[in-house]
Amino acid sequence: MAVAAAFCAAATATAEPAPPDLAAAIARARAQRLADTPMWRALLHYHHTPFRSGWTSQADGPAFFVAPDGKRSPESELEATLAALFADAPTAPDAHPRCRYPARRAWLARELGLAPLPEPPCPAYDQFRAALDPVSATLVFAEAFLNNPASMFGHTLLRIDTRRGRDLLGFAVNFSGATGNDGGIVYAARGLTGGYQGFFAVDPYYEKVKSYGDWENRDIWEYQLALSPEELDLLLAHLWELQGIAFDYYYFDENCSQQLLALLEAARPALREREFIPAWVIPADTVRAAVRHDLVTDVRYRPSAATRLRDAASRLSRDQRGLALSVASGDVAPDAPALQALPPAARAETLDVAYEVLRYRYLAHDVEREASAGRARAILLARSQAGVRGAAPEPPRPAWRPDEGHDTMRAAFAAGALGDVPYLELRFRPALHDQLDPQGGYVRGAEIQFFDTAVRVYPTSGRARVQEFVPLELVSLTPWDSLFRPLSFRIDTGLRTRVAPARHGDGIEQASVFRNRGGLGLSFDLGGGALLYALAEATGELGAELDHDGALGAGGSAGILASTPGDRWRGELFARATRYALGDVTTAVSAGLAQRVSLTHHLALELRSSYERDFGRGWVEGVAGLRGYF
Amino acid sequence: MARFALVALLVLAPVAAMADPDIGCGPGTQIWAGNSGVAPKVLGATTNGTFGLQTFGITFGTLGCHQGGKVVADARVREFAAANLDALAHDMAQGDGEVLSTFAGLIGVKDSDRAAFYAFTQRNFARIFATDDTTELQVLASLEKLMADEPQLAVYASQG
Repeated sequence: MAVAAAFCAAATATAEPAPPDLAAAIARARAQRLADTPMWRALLHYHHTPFRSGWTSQADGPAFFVAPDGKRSPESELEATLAALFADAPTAPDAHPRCRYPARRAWLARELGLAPLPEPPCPAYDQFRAALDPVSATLVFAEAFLNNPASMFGHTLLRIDTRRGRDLLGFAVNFSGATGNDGGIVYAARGLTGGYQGFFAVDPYYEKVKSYGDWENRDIWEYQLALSPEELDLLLAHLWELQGIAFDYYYFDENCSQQLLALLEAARPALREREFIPAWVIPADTVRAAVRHDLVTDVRYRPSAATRLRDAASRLSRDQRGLALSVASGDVAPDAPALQALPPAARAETLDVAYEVLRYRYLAHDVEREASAGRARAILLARSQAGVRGAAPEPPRPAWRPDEGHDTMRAAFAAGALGDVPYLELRFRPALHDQLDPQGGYVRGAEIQFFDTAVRVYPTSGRARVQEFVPLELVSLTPWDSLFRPLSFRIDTGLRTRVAPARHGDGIEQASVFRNRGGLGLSFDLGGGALLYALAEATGELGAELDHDGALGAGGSAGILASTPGDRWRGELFARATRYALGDVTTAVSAGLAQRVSLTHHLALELRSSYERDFGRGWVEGVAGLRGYF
Repeated sequence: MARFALVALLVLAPVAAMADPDIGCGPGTQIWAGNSGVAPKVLGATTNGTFGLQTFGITFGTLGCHQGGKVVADARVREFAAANLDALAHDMAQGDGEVLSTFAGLIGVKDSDRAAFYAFTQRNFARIFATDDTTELQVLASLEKLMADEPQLAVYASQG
C-alpha cells in the first residue's frame, strides 16, 4: 500500500501541464509505462493465466474492452481507451466512453494530468452515483455452509453503506455465477469447467442477510474498510464499468472471492500480493488480505437466526423450553394457562423462542404455511400482549474471527512406524480444515479437506509411495438437540493405502485403492466443547491389488473429539469397523487416538497411534510430526 | 486443467447432489404472505444469486405506486416490508429489533419518537397484522391509518 501510494504521488508530482492532444497523452502514458502498473491491471482485471505468457483479462464481455485485442494487451487497451475518452463524436446519452469507463477516465486523467474533458450527458451513471452515494464500504464474510457445494468455503461480498441507507439498507455487491436452476451433477460439471458466466450484482443488503443468515443459518462477519472517499469513488466508478460484464465463472478459480478482491484492487491496487496460477482464493483469505493491509477498522458479528435461537433457548429454563417447543408445534396454545401463569418477562421470552422455532421449521420445510401462519400470528399476538418491550440479548461473539483462524494451506512432516517398518511422511493440503486443526475461526464440526496428499518414504527399503491423494473429504458434525435436529454426515473420495498381510512370508504389503465412503449419523454435545459422533457408513473400493479388483462394504465409525480450554490441545478417540461383503471379502477394524498440540499460531505437533486389523491380521502404527499452516 | 476438472467433477457430484435447489428461492420463504404485488417481483429477481443479473437490481424508489399515503407510496418501504415481513412482525410484537428500527428509519421516524413508535407497534400488533394472510401492503395501510390517530406519530403518516 505504501508503495502504491508513493507511486501515485510520484506520478502525479511529475505530471506537467495537461497534454494538448491525444498523441501527447499516449506518449506520456508510454513514458510513464501506465499499462504496466498495478492499477491498470486491477481496472482491467489482467492476470497471468496458465499456458500463456503475458497478461490476460478475466473479463469476457466484449463491451468491457475498447481495443479489439484488449483482453490480452494492456498496452493497446490503454491507448485505445485514451483515444475513446478523447473522442468528441456526438453520441446518445450514456453512450460516450466517458460515461462507460468512469474509473479508467478518472485514473488516467489523474496520472496524466489531463485537462478536464467535456462532460457528455451520462444520466444513467449519474443516477447510479446518486443512489450509491457512499460513506463507507464493508467486506462481508458469510461462514461456510456445507450443505451447498458453492458455499462450503464461505462467501464474501462487499457492502456499500450510503447516505440513503446503512447496515441492512446498504447495498450488497456480490459476484455470483448465473447458474439458473441447475443442480447436482450439471451444476458441478458446469461450475468446474467454466460453463457458467458470472456477473456482479447489486442488491439490498437485507436480502443477503436473509439468505445467508436466516435461510442458510450462517453467521456473518462485517469488516468495515478504511477506504478514503477517493478510493470509494474509484471503487464505485469501477463497479459501474463491470455492470453486465460477464466473467467465466469457475468454481475454483475465477470465483466470487477472487473477483471481489479484484474489485477492491481498484481502490487499493496493492491488495494483489502474489499471482496465483490458478488464481485460487478462499473467501477467508480475501478477508485476511484486507486485515493485513490495515484496511479494516471495525469488525461486527451478525449471528444467524439459528445462532440467535440457540442462544435465546439456552437462556430459558427447562420448563420454558419445553413450553416453547409445544407452542411452536401447536400442542399448546400461546395463551394457554401454562403461559399465562408465567411472569410477563418469562412469558415474553418463551413466546419469542416459540416464534423463532416455528420460523426455523417453516424455512426448513418441516411445516407448511397453511399450518404455521395462524399459529405464528397467535404466538406474536400473545407476545405483544405480554407487553414487555425488548428483543432477546445478542448472542456472545465467538472468541475468534474467521480471519484469525489458522491459515488455509497446511504442510506436515512426520516420522512413524507401521508395525516395525519405519517411514517418513510428507503431507500437503491446499485447503482447508479438519476436525483436529485449531478450531478458532472455523465452523464447529465442519471439515473440508481438498487434495490432501501424503507421500511416504521407507528408509529401510528405499521405497516411496503415494500414501494418500484425497481430492475431497467433507465431514459435518452438528450436535443433535431438542431444537435442531441435524444429521451428521461424511463424504470422502480419493486414493488410499490399505495394509494387507504379504501373500508370501509374514511381512506386510500395501495396496493402493480408490475409495469412496459416505456416512450418515448423529453427533451429541458432551459439554465443554466435546463432541460424540456415530455414523453408519458405506464404503466402495477399487484397486488392482484387491481380489476381484474391488470391495464393497458397510460399517460404522464413532469417536469423541475434545479440546482443552483455549484449544491448545485437541484429541480424537476414534474407532471404525467395515465389513467388506462383496469383492475382496474381509472385516477391517481400526481404533486409535489422534492428538494435536499447537505450538504457535502457525505450527502444531501431531501425534497419532492406532491399531488396525485387516485380512485377519493386526498392526500397530505410531506417527509423530509437525504441521505448519501458511 | 481438464483432467483436474474431471477428477473434481467425480468428486463433487455427490456433494452437489445434496444441494437443496429450493433453498431460499422465491415463494415459500416467508410465513407471512409478503410475496405478492409489485415489490416482490423486483425482489424475486434479486434473490440468492442464482439468477445472475445482467444489470444491477438497484431500486431508485420510482416504482410508481402512488396510491395511499406516504408510507404506502414509498417503494423502498414496501420492498423492505415485503422482504422482511416475518422479522418485522416479530419485532413489532416485541416492540424492538433491528428490522423494526431500520423500518422506522425508512419511514422517517426521528430518534426522539422511536421509543413511542416501537411501543405503538407492539400495542397495535393485533390491528397491524389483522389476519393470518396479512400482506405488506395491508401492514403499511394499517400503520398509516393507526399512526394518523396517534398525536406523536401522525406526522409520519400524513404527508403525502
